[in-house]
Amino acid sequence: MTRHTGDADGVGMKPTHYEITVRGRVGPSIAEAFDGLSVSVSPTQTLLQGQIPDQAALHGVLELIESLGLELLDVRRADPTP
Amino acid sequence: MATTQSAPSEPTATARDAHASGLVIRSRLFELLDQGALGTVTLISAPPGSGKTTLMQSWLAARQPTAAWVHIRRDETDETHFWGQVLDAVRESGVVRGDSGLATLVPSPHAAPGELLGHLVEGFRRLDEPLTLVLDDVHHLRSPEVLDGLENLLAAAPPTLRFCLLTRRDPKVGLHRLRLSGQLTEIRAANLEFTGAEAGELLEGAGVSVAADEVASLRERTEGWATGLRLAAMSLSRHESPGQFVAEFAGSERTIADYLLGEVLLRQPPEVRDLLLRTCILERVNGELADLLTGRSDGDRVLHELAEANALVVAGDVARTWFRYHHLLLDLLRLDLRRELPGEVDELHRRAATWFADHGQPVEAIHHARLATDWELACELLGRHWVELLMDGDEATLNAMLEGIPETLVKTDAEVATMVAAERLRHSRWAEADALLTVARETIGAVPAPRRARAQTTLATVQLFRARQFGGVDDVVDEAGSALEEHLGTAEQGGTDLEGLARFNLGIAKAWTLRFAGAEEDLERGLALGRTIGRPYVEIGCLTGLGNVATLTERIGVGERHLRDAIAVAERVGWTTHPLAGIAFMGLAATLIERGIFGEGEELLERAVPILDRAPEPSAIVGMRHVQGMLAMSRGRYDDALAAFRDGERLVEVLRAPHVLAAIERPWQLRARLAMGETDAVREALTGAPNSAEWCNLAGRLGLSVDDPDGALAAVAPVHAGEAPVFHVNFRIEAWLLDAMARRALDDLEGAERSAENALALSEPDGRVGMALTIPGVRELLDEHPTHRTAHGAHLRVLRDLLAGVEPEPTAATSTLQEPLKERELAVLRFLSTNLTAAEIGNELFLSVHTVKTHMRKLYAKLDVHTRAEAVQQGRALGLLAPARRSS
Repeated sequence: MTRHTGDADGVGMKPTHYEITVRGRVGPSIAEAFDGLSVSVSPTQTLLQGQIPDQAALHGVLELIESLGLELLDVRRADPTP
Repeated sequence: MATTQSAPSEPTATARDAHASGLVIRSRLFELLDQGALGTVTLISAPPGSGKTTLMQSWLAARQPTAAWVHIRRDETDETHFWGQVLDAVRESGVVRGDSGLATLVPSPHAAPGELLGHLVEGFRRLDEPLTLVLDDVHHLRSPEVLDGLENLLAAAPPTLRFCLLTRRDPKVGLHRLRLSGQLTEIRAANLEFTGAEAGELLEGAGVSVAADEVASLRERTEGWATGLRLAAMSLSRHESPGQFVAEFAGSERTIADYLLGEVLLRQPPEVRDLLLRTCILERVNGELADLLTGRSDGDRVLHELAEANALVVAGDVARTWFRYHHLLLDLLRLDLRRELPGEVDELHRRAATWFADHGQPVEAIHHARLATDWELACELLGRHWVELLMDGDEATLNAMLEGIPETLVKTDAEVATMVAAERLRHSRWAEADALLTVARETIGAVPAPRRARAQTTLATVQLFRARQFGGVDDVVDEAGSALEEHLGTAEQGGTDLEGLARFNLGIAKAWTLRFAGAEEDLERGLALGRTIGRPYVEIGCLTGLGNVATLTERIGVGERHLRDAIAVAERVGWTTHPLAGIAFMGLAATLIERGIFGEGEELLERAVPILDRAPEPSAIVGMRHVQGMLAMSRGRYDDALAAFRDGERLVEVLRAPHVLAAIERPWQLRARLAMGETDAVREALTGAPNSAEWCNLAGRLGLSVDDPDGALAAVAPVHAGEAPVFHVNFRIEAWLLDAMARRALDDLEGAERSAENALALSEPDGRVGMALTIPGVRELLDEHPTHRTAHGAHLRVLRDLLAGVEPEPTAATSTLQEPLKERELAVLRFLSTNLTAAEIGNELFLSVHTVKTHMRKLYAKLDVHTRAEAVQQGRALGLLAPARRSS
């Protein structure tokens, strides 16, 4: 079977470190949904961070945030080199 | 969702019902929806849980317009499946009349993209009453083709049709243009937020009594988010101290969903929570399925109670048998399930798979078998349903399922390897397909016994499909044919889609290897089955195959009838751009051009060319080039003819296998070159050529063109004598015409007349003119053929007209007589158009005048006429006589 290793045009092929902020404090059961990301809760918002393999995976995470009814505040790449 | 227009008093009652079931009548949004009905498109675009579906459902319940509701499945990529769902929903709404094109339309993945849409727009234009078409979860549409199609449909929709698009994200369907033209009404997140009054009404409807400031506080905390408010209402209805709950919730910084779902789930009775946990693996659930997963019998009751509380569960259909969970809940429950019952997840999926399989839902069944990692079950289900999925247009879904199968299984399970090979063939990846088919042949014996027979049928069918695309290969057809004979009779496969597909492929492959009788038998059985199971693919394919076989075996009328039937089916289901329709157009074009009906023939050919040029079936293109070549030959465009025959031959070589037309492409090229004056090249090619009619006649043509009539006579003699194999009756006709031309050149006018009569006798019954028109110099022969003595005056006149550039009126090739004319009666009828008396006709036919008169009486009765002139007229109308163009 064919396995996609990345987009041919080179966009989003490398795993990248992302930091995603959502509003409110996320409880333990929802935190579990973000498998592979570390979840740190501050008084008014929650930071999800970790390596995300490619753009498709990033959109998957964003979709999960949407479908869990969370409000997205910020998404940023945190790699030292671009 | 089918509803009819209601009497004026009813909406209030419906509104009361809606209210009683916890729905809030949101008048300000209803007004927006009412206004939107004046335009084409209403877009309800907002995040999940904003109350889009609930709003739409309550508005429909209150206003009762005729409506069709399409729930778009997750990650929809199958264009055909999506439009099929739209069609089904529209038909169910009851607005489609039986004579509408929409009633018989069948979406196909292989017709040109615009065709279905054209039919849809046309069908929608003819709707008698207004229709509201709701597309729910438009954000699930993943295919750019579907979105393009939807955009075109929205732009072309008639005023009777109103679209409501429910979506989480604005879809790319040309919204800006609709906005500018005033056709778009938008309801967005801000509109959907509950106002204080609405929130109060919602809480009251849920049986919760809280103070006004608490309502305000809840609204503020949830920001008017519908799901948040509903969950809050559910928590409150079971909370001993509502005031305390509101205060705690308002003060919490936890996310709303997290907080409230936790609360709500915590307060559910154990049996409800257990049911939710075990059934959350499903996208939709009903009571029976819930019982199967919980091992209890309260599923239906619990689901109805939850749906009435209107937060966790929504009814998925009007009859309230299917329910869907709120997706928020679903995500959360699935996490809980993995934590609390990790050992049971596979078993739950396996039970669900079995239930869906038993209830005719193969896509969901296979989905759950895969999630259960039960590959034996998944493969068994795929093998049983893959043809059905293909024919339903679920091709992308099927491919995704095949992609998910572990590599090791593809290499060891013959049935899986065959299904993957078929996918590769559909995408013209021949080498990969062949490698997989080799794997399948090697491992077929290891397939578990319960599905081995079916695996063998599948393998044979796919091999035949491959043979069909490339022309037949004798041993493949033999092997696959006997495998099919052995297994198709078994009860399990009788009458299935797989059998229909197998018969069709077997029939076509037999035809390519010139086993016409066997081919017709398989195609007839396939046709009958295709009609029973309602598969246009099998029906059109078998009819086209039968038509082409009949034409090749010199039954041109039968062929024409089958091909016209095939085209009629294609038109009925909207497949006139499907490759199978292309082959039918080509086949019919060939028979019409053969009979000199160039106008319609060329028109059909022009329709066939673009379809077949983009179809991945090399063998069909060979046929098309041949027809193009014959047309050019008979028009005297020899360079065009040469190019077409050459291209045909080049393609035959690509086929790597014998093609039914392979033997005659080269001699036809040489006929074209000879007509262009290349005598030396033809003479050279004739050295060592086979002793078959097409080559003998080529030598005859050469003799005539180099003023060697004796050589021409000698060359064609073996054809008359039955010593040269004859591919088709046309080569007999050609031999007699060349013979006549040679005798004329030798001043043997009597012999020339006799040979020309032989040619006319062979060509008149089916009205064949194609071959004669390709012979340079045939015009002088036929112009001087004695009109008063010929038994084929009518056909002779048609030929002369065509050679002078006048086309005959199209006529049906077959008679529609109750009782057909006997051979002798037909012979007499042909003479009736001459000025010979009954006695003279008797002399020509070696009959007594009495017998001729008896034949005349009988044929008058059969034709239902009273005079000789009427008999001739009727004979022409029925196509028994070639039509007259001018009086002689």
